[in-house]
Amino acid sequence: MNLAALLPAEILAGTALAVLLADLFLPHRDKAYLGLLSAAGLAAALGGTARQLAAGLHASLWGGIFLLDPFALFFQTIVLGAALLVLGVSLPYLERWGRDDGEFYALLLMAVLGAMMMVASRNFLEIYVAMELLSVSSYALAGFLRPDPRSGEAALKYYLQGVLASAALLYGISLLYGLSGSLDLSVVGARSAGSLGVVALVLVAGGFALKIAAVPFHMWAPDTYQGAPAPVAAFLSTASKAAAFAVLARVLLTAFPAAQGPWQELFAVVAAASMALGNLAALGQRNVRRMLAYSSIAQGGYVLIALAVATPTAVAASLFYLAVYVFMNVGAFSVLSFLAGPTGGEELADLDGLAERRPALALALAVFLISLAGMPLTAGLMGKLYLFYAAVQGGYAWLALWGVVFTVVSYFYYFRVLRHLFWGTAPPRPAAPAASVPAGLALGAATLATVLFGVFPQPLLQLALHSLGMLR
Amino acid sequence: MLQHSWVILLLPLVGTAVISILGRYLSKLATSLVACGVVGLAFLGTVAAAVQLEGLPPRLQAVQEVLFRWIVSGPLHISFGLLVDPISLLFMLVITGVGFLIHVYSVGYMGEDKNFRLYFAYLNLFIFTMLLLVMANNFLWLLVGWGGVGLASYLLIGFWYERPSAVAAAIKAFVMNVIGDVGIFLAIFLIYLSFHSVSYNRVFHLAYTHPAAAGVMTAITLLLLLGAVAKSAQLPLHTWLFDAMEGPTPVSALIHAATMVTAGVYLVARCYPLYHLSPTGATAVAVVGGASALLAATIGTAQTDIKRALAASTMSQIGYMIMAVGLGMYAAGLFHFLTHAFFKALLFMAAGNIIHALGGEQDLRKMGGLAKRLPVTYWSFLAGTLAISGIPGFSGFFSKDELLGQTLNRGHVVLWAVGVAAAFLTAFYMFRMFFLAFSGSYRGEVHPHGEAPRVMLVPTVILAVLAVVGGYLVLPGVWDLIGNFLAPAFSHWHGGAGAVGNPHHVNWLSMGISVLLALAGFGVAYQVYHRRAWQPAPWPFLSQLLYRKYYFDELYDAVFVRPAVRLGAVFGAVADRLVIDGGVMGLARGVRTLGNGLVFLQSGYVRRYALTIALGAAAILAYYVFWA
Repeated sequence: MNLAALLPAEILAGTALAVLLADLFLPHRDKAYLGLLSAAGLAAALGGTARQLAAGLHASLWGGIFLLDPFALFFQTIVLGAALLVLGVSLPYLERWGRDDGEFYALLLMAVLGAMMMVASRNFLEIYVAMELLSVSSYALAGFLRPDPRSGEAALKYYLQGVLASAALLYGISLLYGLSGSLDLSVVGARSAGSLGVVALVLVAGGFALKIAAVPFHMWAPDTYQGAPAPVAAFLSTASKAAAFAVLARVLLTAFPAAQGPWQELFAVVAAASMALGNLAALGQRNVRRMLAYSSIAQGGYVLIALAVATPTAVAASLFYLAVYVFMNVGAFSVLSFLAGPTGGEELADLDGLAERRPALALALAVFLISLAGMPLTAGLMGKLYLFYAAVQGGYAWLALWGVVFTVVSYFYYFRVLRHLFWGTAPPRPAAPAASVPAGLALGAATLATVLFGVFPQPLLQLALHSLGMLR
Repeated sequence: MLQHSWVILLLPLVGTAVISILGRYLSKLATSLVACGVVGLAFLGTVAAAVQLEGLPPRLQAVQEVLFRWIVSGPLHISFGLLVDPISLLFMLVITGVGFLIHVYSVGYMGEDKNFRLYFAYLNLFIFTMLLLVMANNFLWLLVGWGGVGLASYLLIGFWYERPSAVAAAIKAFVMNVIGDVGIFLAIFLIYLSFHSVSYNRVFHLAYTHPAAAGVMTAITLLLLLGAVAKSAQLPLHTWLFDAMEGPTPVSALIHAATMVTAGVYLVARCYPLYHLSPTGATAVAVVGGASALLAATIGTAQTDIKRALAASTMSQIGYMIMAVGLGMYAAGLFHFLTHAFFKALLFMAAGNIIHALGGEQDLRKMGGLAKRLPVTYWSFLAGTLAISGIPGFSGFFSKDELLGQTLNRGHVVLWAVGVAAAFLTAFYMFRMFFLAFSGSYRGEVHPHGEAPRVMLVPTVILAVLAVVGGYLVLPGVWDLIGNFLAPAFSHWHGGAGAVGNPHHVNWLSMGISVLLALAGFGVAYQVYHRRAWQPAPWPFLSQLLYRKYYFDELYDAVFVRPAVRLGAVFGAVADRLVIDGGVMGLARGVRTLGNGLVFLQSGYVRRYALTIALGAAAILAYYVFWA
């Protein structure tokens, strides 16, 4: 029973090991097969998880250490989907950099495995272990472009601050253990009342907030997103963020419902600060990837509204938002990954006249950006709408208003990119390399989903609502 | 087919998608085949659906098919579904049937146009949106179709976009139609507020079981009327229709004669349970229709442009229909819609043949003597003229007299008199047009080409036949096939009583008078225009008044357009400079400065980052430990 329910994770682990092994024996020209093998493994795991989600699986494994409920399965699906898109885009990217070894794929699969286990954990120790698997793999991925010093800088900065967060998390967990004598989420909260419990909670939340890149734990994000390989930045800003959010939501809502008042306040402030800082700082950026990094901080702020409001509607809205955010943010980073070469090429000026050189890429980037900005007919608008509506309903009208104000601020930097895309005149430059088939598929799927969920948001929203079983 | 009516709806959408996406790889022949093929198939599907529907017991003759749930948000449930009942089927038959003929005709008419493919993509798009309008099973999707036909109409009126007049006409049509769209939108708000639903079924049911206040019902029906008036070019939102003649002639035939402009008739007929509940609304509909019928008929007597004269006639004939549905004579109104679709599409296509032969000339003063040169067109135009004038034996006679006779039977003497007067004027202006074009000697400068190619003539002739025999569907005193066909649709809800007239209650008095007046109209036109050169009207003031269409355009220009432009200039100078530039730009500059300041914090040193984290965490902890 236990092993069968975890089949998707097992497939993933098996694929990761197989890729590492095969990497030893494959000649260099055949390395592309490793990517395809990884994609197959991811797709199989995605299919399995989606089936479990559709079937409404609710299984407690190994004495409650793992809980595969719809909530966990929803986030596993998000993470796997994001990873699949990222993988599709990585294939041509790595080839261009001459870094298409098996390690990248194995690391990506390990990170995904960590994220998958993390969202299904009900035990602090297991959460910590799974998060370390995700983190360590991510550090390595961020520094994967060894020839580029910025990639190294990205990895180092991420690592140093990640360690800080891990320390805070571990310290918080040890406090909780000391207070309650348990690591089980269902027991800890009830036994950790009092101000020391709140301190422990803040430390734990801080550990996760770093992965979400929420203010004031955001400082690593711009440097890392800018320096890391673009597909890795896409992964970190979506899958990793979604997994951390899922754990945070699960910890707060199931372990500490009693302390709801304090942490609601905390996240209202954190969400507001993230929206403000992310959007304001993005205004001044000339480097599009760095701009997207700040935008990701702001987007994380929108999602955190859900934890401030903490009603089922709000959490469902955040699930919806994270799901569609995967498509638009992976999409936006991916388009940049096609444009950038070893010499950069991600400045605003580099996008001048892209609509003429690569109309399909420009159109896709435009769709992602207007969705991130929250314009009609895109999933981004529906997501924001649901979030802000839930905030108003939940008595956080000021937070919704705050979000609207900074959404308006964000138009400025998103639309500035559009201006460069469509109205910029470019000096002639070497044509960007053609997108390969897997990358085109990934990008096309992301574009389609961004529009489709904007026009027909209902099925996804229903799914998000159904995935909240643990809250009722 | 009845269970899969979505296929009918989807076919033209497929057509427009194929032509727009693959257009550059398609030859003209392939484009024509796709465009005409999808509409032809849709017509066959509609016929099959009609046959199936007739086989059902009357009670079941409203087939609903829910395709998907669109919005489910709390109490708001809106699904996308189709409703196929006799009313929608009658419209679908005309849209796809007459639509198919006009598609074929267009292959010839637009054959030399450089944007041939674009034209057919638009035309298929129009068929799709029009079908959506009549097939939707709730108000919201009706509005989607309603807006869609407005868009297609806009695109096609402005199809020759190099002509400034065409672009101006397209904008005018769009703006006036949006006024109507807003009316319908507000009506939908009120309907939802009153009945918590937008589906026809629930609304019409609840309108009786849980009636809303009389004032609300009146507001709903009047707002719906506003939409109908704008779309159907009735008073006072009619001025766009004349300018819409800037579009290609087949477009005028399809959109601005046979189908789209009759959407208002559809809307009122569809909402008959609501109009039954609001006598004020229904009366307003009838009065607007009657007034439009008469006013437009007078305008028709003074136009010199053949298409504008036909546009006046369209407005007038739709006025009849609107009047009929306003009086609750739904079957009579829809019957006139059917025959009008035949003879008015025919007249436009025949006019198109003339314009084609004269190299684009539309001025009646420069025509004349075309009977010999364009024999097929001559006979077709004659058939259409006889039909619209209500000469016994031709289709217009049956539908118009059914309509006028019932009006008199119900005691609406004034509206009847208005209708009969308009009938006289109709015969006059139609024969005036006919004689000016075909009798006498040719007055134009360009040498006329011969008859149009067969691809244009065949559809014209088919419609000519329909314009002659179409009326026999209702033979006074004998049978009423249209009434029988439509009756089930008016039996589902209250308010349908009397929708179908009794075929045995023929009002011979009304019929006699209107036939006499039609003949009189013919006689006057014969006296004045047969075999004579063009002559200006004897009363310059009156003829100018009619030619200028009662100065509605000038009035609107003075009252709405120019003040709006002036107001815009004032706002541009004051509000934009001071408030927008000063306030908003200043705010933007402030925000940007703040953003740049924040970026400065991001120094790149990890130690500073760590300090930020530590300070942040410490602040949060301090808050909880010391204050909370």
